[in-house]
Amino acid sequence: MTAIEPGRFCSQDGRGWTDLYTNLVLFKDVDLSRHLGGIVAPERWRLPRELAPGFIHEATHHWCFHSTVGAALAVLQLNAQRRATATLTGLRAFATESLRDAMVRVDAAEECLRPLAEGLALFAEFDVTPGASVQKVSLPMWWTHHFFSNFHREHVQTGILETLSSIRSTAAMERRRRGILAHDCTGNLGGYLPGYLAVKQIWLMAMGSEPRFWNRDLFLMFLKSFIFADMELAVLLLDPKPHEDAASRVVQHIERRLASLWKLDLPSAVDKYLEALNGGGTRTQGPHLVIDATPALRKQANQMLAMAMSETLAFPKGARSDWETLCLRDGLTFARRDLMRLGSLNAIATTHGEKLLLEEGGEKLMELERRPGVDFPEPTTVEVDVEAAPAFDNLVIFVWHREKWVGQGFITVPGGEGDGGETRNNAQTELYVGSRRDQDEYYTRARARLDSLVPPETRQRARSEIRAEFNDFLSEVALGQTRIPLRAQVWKSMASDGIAALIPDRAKLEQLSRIGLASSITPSREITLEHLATMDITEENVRSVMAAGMAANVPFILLQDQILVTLT
Amino acid sequence: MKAAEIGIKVLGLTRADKMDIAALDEQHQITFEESAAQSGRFGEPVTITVILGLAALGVLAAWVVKTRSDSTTELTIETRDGKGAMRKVKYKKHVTKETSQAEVLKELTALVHGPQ
Repeated sequence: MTAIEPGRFCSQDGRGWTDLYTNLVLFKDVDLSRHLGGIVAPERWRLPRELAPGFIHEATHHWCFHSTVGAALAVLQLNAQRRATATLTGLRAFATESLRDAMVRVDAAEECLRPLAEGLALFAEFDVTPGASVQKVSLPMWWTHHFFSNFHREHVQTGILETLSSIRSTAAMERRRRGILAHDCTGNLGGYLPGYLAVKQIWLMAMGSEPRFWNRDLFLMFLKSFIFADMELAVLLLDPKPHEDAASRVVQHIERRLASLWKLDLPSAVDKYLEALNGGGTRTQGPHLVIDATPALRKQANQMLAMAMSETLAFPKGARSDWETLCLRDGLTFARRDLMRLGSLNAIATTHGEKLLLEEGGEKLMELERRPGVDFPEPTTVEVDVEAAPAFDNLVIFVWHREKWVGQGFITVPGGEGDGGETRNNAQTELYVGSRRDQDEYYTRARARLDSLVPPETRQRARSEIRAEFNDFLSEVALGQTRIPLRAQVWKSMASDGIAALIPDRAKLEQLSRIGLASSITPSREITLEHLATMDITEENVRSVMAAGMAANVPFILLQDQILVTLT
Repeated sequence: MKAAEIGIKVLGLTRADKMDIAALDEQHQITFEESAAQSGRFGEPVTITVILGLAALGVLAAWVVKTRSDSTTELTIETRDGKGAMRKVKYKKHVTKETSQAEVLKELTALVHGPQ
């Protein structure tokens, strides 16, 4: 079995990624040549636990981007790319000004959503644990249970808790968290620490008025919906009228939206949210999980989204014009946004009746349904894309011979609440025009064409200004426990090395990193201190780290009679 | 390949790794590079590239031994010789309490020199 040698479709710098617009994922450490068996074999469903942190991070991004706001941004980006391609190839002519207007909105939203999305993903990695008070768990947590838990499928909460407890006790996870605590606070390198600190402070504020948020997975779901199912933002992004101040409208809205959390009647909002969450449908997906939006606003957002997507929604069969092919490609890219790509590999395929046998080196990998009427030489090397449909509890495997789609497999995951994908519109897969690699290559070409008409360099200054403005806003949220007159100075001192600049003693920083991971499993002071003692961290050490935080005017730890939580 | 001409890069490290390596690098022989996030691409934090010459390989070996006890470490190392020829190799090592800095240094040195 040969893992596909990466070209551009790979981790260029040793990191996993998720594309905001296509929702295409690269799990950098998932190597199907080693891990396919654990993914598809019945009742095994296991991946090595060292892959879990990266998996949780990217699965959280994928879940966030498969949302109304994610869809609005995707359709703006894809429409602009397609129109640039059509203009440059002479298929159709679109005004560059309209493309520029779309990119102004996309850029503004990306600059603001980036730290928030990274903050949510880091919170999922380091802090989230499910609680017994809520029946359902977030999709990233459910799939973490699916791929990494030692427990039987039905014991979801216990399985997740054991998995998280195990991975958060490792030296690798401590280094990972310490690396974030030492990250920059300028926003220029992705806004990881500003976003993470802001999410933690929002959690702390929310917990103050709604104790059900001790269940940090519930908080993750709630905040994800609040940010990424923001109907007003979708309307702003998709407004067909050009606005000279489009960027500032987007930025100001996102800031106002976040600030409104402090005024929201959280107990009432959580009641409604839980009613929707437990009221049927798949776990945490769907239009019912919208917070603080009127039915009229939801309708307006959905209508604008449908209108913006209209030219890509028709899937003409038979002969297609070049323009229709471009539309089809983007329509399919959009339709695949719900699939979370786990990986791709090459294998040898042969037909056995109605089945397609995949093997390598004489070893059988799996047998799938062969698409009838598609000819290809046999045996031959094929490309296999392995994907999860997170909201539908199934795995989808597509097999490609060059541009031809030659086989497929659907594997329903037991123990889930979905319908195995029956409600997913699989009819559109009949029109798939290429593997993930083809899709990514096409997307890259189209993006380059858009960049040639609306060069990124010309947008860079505006993006930098937005980034700086939003980073200032986030600093107020992130330093919520710091006295107001001191915030600017403290934030400035954190510019290049974050929390590490406030704790010059490296041993203390490592202890803070460990205390955060240990206290994520339970807020119980007694249990956390017992756990920390196994790592040679005493209560005196905890108090010493607390004192370092107080000296730096940034409280790191909340230690009360029965509670121990970290604020950073 | 002449030893003095070999440039070495260790790819994909974190800010925590950078701090640990910098603390061991008393003679400031090592530099660090960090890239910005790509537009549209979200994901794990941008990684650090550690840049060093052969003379500083001992610092890298000390870091491996001190910070990776009882675990398996895997480093992606890129070397460039005086003629600009580049090689990318993986160094994988299970570090135990018995692992010595000299042992790791010997293995790293052999790896960056490549097949003789």
